[in-house]
Amino acid sequence: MNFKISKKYLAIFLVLILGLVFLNLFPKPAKALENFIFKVFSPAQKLFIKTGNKISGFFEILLSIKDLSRENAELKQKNSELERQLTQLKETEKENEALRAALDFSEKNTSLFEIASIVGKSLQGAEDWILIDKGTKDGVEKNMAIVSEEFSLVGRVIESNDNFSKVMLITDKNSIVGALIENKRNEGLVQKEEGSDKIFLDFVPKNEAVEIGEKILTSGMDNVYPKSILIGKVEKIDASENQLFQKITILPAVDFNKLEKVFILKSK
Amino acid sequence: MTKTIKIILSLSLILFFQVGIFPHIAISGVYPNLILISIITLSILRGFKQSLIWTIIAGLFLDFYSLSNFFGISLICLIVVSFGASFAAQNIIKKTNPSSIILVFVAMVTLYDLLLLAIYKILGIGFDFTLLKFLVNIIYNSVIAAPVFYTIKKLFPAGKV
Repeated sequence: MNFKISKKYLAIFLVLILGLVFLNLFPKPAKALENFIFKVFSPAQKLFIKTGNKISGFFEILLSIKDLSRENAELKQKNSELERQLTQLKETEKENEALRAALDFSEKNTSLFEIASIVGKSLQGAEDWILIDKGTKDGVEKNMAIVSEEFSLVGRVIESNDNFSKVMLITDKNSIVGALIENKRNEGLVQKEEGSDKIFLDFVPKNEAVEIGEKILTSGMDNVYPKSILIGKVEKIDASENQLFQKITILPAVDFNKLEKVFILKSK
Repeated sequence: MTKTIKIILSLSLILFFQVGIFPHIAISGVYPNLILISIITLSILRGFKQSLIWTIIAGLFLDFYSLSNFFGISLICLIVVSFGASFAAQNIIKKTNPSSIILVFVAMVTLYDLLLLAIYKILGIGFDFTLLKFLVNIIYNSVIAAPVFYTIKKLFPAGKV
């Protein structure tokens, strides 16, 4: 094999190296090019994301058919449990209102919500982020919180172009969210679990009783995410003796693979 | 010019599949990197120089779709992998032997991951690396590589693009 580098290839490599150095020193042209590429690709990507979700949904239905009767019974049971809870909630309306006032983030912390479509995703599995079709021109800034249509936590804006923003998901390795357990009010940090796709709540003392299924909400202590956004539910608790704190595995409230639209929470 | 447009269109289609479809077939959070597989395939089939333009455009795509603050990491890794794949294909293995082809894919996907890991470590960028993910990534990409390799070989016979 002849690896003798001709002048043409030497020139290509030289231009490439100089180009990369230039783009890293002066990122504006790279950002402009990135914005242009996202603009050109976003309609087709949106279509592929939708198609992917539909295909995946179809196969999920096929696979879940045999579980339907069991699921139905579970849902009926859950329904009666919810009805019971609703009656209790009505009876304790006063207490509930006080609790709501403490938890309510929407009026105190944020006033503007903007809907955005997901037009891209991370290409390499090592990063967990999505691309949304709103950028600095729409008032989107770094560190704005992103929630799903059901108002569950998705992540935060990490980078913005004119028309697009990259959102780091809470399942990314570099994501840290201040959180608390809804009923117990124990605070901790939600991070990605090493070696798995799960996220977990750390720094909850071992002597605190935590139950499976309890809701985990944002605490607002990180000064990034507003208070009281649902992150997920307790899925598993590990209080092994060799640990100082409990390791609470969380089942996220959001199915990140199926997201198509999100809300950007714009701070006041 | 037509050649470059063809390359951009083909890579765009690969990119759309990668973004829209592949995350749904993730195993342990790992899904195949169709762009990487395509570049290794092209490098095996037509050599480093002939696939350089593909590699540069694909590398730029990967960099635009990355969270890293350093632009060009994926591009550099992809160029090294492309060189490695074409070197192996022309000097070490027989291109007609499927098991040799798979071996090149295993080696090059491993090389790509290790290069990314090394650069991210040097630059102090957080990288989600675990041995399980690393192994799943190599196996998964190598399994997907076989059909991709023969599809590209059929669709783009040497010299056409």
